[in-house]
Amino acid sequence: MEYVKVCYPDLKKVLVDGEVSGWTNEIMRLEEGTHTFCVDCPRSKPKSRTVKVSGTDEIEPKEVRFAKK
Amino acid sequence: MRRSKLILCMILIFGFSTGCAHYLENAALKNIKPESGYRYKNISPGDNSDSLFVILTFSGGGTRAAAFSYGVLEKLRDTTIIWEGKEKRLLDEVDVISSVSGGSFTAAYYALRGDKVFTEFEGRFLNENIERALMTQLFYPANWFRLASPHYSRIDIAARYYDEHVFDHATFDDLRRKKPFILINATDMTLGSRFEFTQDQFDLLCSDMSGYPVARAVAASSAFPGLLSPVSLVNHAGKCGYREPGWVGNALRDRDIARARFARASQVRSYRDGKERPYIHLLDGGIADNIGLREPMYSLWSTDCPWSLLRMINLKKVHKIAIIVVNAKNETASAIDKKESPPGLLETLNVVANAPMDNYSFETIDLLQKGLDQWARDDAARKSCEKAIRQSCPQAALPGAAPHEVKFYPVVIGLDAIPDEKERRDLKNLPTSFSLPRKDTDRLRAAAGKLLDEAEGFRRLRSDLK
Repeated sequence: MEYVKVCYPDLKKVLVDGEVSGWTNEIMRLEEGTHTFCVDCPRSKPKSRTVKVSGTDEIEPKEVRFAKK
Repeated sequence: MRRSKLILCMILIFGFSTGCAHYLENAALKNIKPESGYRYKNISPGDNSDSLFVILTFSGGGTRAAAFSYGVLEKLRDTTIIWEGKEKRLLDEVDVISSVSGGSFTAAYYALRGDKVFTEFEGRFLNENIERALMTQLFYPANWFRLASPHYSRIDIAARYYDEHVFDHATFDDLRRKKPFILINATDMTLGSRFEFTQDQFDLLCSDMSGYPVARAVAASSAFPGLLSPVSLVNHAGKCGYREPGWVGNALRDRDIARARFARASQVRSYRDGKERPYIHLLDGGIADNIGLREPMYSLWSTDCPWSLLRMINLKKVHKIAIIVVNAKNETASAIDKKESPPGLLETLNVVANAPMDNYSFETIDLLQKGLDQWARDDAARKSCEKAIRQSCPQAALPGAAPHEVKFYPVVIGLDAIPDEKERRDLKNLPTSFSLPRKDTDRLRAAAGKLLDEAEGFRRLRSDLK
């Protein structure tokens, strides 16, 4: 199991590989591998990020950062 | 003379018409319609909450498995719980049933008929000599001509029988659009992997599952290699504007770090080439997974699954998850070690067909338990870290809000856990067939209820739902 925190100024739903899969600023559990993240699209910058998620844990989750446009 | 010519002529017409027999083809789909078809997201929850998520898996094992899983349904019907302030039957909280082979008869019948399963199933299937009925079919002249066709085989006779005598010509469109969602599992002969009868899977073939008979899905799920021929599907891929899910392209980059995910994505792609694979042939689901647990595990560990539990957990929709594995594995006494002469072909084939399935089932259950243990260890590590930080530096915090906590109740019931030695030996010795005496199906049903009642995970679940 892998752990990811998607950072964004607002509380929003997070799309992982096109499906609503969690909330911003909270740790999500994901399967190991490459995932594409989207938040609050198209108001976020960048629009999406594709990240390889591997070797994380609950204490040190992978952080995926988005800003507001 | 004229009369005998007429009879001969009629026989020939009859023979030609049945000799051109063809298996029932799955319909093509013009456009993908996510809002329709038999998929988890189109199933109404009714009074069934998502917050308590109950999964049943029914193993293969012919009538033995059907009776054992039926006993579990009876026990869940008779178990009252209180959830979110409401008193209800635990059976009404079952969300998903994943089934294989013999267990698919029980699962499909329940999904079609709901509570009527408890008044109808024994007479329609459980206490019927299905094996003799199928053999009798082979003596019908019409079936001789049908079997002469290269496009019609023994499995089509079986499917036709189930369709007429067990499932009343029901199609997937007739399945109740309320929970539980059933996953009837077969095995794709080429890939050796699971093939489940859901519209999400049929989308890959650009095929509409709504008019497809439930009986054919159950026949595919129980097409034991050698005894029954495979069920064939036409792959219409490339004609319906299908767009593959976002995870597939990403997973195809993951050969080195996530091989299982890479393999799943490669399998999805393999169906997309309708020219390379114009037909898909399906055998007994037990070959890929004889306890039906792999798909629920996929849902639990991955957001790629169409009914991903992991997504529901991340979205804080689920608080408690019960996974009840109903494994009717037998262990018939073997005489091969009592003879000096090496076992014959049939005995050898029996071992070749069954031993890998049983070993794999054992590993699958082990994998589930290890995964849940790891999950608990991860949560505990974060909690102890948070506690240590609070003590030494109250202003500091770990990154992000902690992941949503879920309580798991894994329950595995199998014939090998029956405490009484004689009962255990008797029931484990029951063969895998579609015919068992009523006294044996009754004993299996009673044993299932008792085993579930005594299982530690089930006791914990009941105690937490009072």
